[in-house]
Amino acid sequence: MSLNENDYKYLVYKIGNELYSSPLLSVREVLEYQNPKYMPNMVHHFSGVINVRGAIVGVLDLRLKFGLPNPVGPKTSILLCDTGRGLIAAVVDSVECVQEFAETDVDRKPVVMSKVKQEYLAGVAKSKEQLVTILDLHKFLTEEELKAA
Amino acid sequence: MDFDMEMITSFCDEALDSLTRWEQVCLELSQGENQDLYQELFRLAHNIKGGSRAVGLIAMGDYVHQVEDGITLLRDGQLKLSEKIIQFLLESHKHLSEWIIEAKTEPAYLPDHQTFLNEFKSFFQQLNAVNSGVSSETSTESRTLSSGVHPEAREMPQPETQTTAKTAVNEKRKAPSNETIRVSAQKLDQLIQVIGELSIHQTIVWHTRGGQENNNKIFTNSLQLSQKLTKELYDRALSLRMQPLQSVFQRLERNIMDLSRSLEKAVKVEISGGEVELDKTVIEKIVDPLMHIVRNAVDHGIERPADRIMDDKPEFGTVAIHARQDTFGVELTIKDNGKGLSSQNIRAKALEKGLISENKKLSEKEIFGLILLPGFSTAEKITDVSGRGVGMDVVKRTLDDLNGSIEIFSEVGKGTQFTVTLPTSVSIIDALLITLSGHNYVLPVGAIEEVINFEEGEMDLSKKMIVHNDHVMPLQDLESLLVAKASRRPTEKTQKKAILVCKHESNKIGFLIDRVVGQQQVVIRPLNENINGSFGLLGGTILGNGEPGLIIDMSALASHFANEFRTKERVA
Repeated sequence: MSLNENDYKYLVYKIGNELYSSPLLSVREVLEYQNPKYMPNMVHHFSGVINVRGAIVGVLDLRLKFGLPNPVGPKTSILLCDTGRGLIAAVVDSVECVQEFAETDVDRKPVVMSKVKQEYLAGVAKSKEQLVTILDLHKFLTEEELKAA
Repeated sequence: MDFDMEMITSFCDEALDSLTRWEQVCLELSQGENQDLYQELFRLAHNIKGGSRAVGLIAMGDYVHQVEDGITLLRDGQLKLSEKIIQFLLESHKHLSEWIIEAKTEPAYLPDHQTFLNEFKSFFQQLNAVNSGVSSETSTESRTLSSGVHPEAREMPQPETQTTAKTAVNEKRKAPSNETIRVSAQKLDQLIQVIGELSIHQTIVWHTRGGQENNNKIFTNSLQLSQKLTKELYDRALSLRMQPLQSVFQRLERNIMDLSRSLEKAVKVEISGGEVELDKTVIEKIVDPLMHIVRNAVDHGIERPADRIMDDKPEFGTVAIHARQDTFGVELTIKDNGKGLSSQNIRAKALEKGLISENKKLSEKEIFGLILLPGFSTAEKITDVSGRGVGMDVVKRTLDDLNGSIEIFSEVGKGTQFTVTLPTSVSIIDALLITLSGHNYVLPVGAIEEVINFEEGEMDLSKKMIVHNDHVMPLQDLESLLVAKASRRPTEKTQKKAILVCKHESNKIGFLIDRVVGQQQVVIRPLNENINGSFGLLGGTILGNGEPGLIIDMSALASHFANEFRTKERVA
């Protein structure tokens, strides 16, 4: 199987003080933060909906999901994902860089204590003495129940 | 055999058009013979035959060829039109339609219509044996397929047929071809979406134009003009999706005829307003509910001819289908002069099923409305025709989804009338902009009966009731109904300064809101799968200022409130 060069590329972003990343191609766009509009009957970490060029997109605040404070600053960003269930977006504290991780640097089955459920964890990558958690963003954003009971 | 799929697709689309006309011609023929109709039917068959052979669907060509022979006999007056023949022609229409739809994806598809063809041929030949005149083309080419051709008939040349066929083809060529263009619905939708976005941004530009207008007249004028043009562009794009109801009516008529034949009932169909246009999506969704209503009318409504005569009614029952456009949308009525519905029976049945309580007072209209409830079916026994688990409740639900409504009126012994109201377009609604705790919401104007504005202290909101127009009306805070307790709630505390009066069944309910901000037309956008299905929301939209707006489903909230209210009543 031939791998595309993009397959090794990851988008690295920060939630709180920790580094996370997701395969570059799983994120359609990085948007400047805009204030989501309140939508009733949704879970606590669902911030609301935004207008992305005419499409109404639900926004999850990953910081709230992880129980972290959610300040809005100049670096606060929104990651837009095109999932099988339509567009959905996630708020992160900042987008750091696009980085290549060789498959050898990635531990695909890590046993770690994490805020993230094991099934949304796609691995942990070593990068310059730092560990970067790889999130399966699509799974993470679509499989959780968003509607409040 | 290799097939050119592009050619096949375009042939199939054209052939399906021809077949629609084919069906129509058959239905018209059943009203009475007419040379022009034969001529047209022949032309249609001939075109399908030619087209199918040209794209390599040889078997289809052969099939049509044989049907065409039958039509030739009719056209040349060698055969008298009968009920049976029309049935044959309609049957072959059905075969071909199915065949063509299959062929579109699988050109090698070969249905087995041999039995039908044999029956068809022998039928025609029997009749024709008397007249003994089959065109030469017919006999030679069909020899392979049929064995029972009359030997004399084969030798009989008839050049006349050939010439008429040619003129028919020539005529077709002369017909103007630039009147319609076939465009895929998807392309159209993309276009509409882009224009929709354009008009949203146009509005944003307009709202943020700032102080520009003071010092630049050209700018303002041009902005105003482009605003107007965008609006027109949008309206025109939307109108591209509109289709006349004629094709739906035709299907209904066909269905009624087939059904009445199999039930041995005599039914006349009256149709008017086929030229009224509706959005394509609405048309597609409305077919099944309408079909259900007409089938019910024929199955349960119209009596057998003998019974009708006994009741001093004309032997032929009538099903009248009528469409009318008004300012709010399209009104469809389906009326039969059958035995009608007995409101007492309906009431009794609803009681038996526990759908209503013993002492509940209901108006005539509300009683008829009961048959729309799930779990209600008046048919004594389940027949093949209606009552296959799909009931009137499905009809009601489809109409609700389309933002439409249905009303039933019936008189025992005289007949039943269904009135269906539909919005012209599903995607644009007149909306009211309101605020709840500092958040803007949108709701369809149609759902609101009245808005009562008041100033602080003017209303006593401590009781959950107010007196309005001499009626006591329950009062409910809209937000606490809309927002579930477990979810994140807005924190801002605001003054309530308006009441929206909504009608639910025959009751009025007042909903307390902060205030009404304005009224505008909005384009409904469905919420995607990640966020849809939230209670009380109909969809979303982009407001004039570029912000997303959520559309509240007032009728869902009203019925939710009414149910809660009833439960409380019972407990108390």
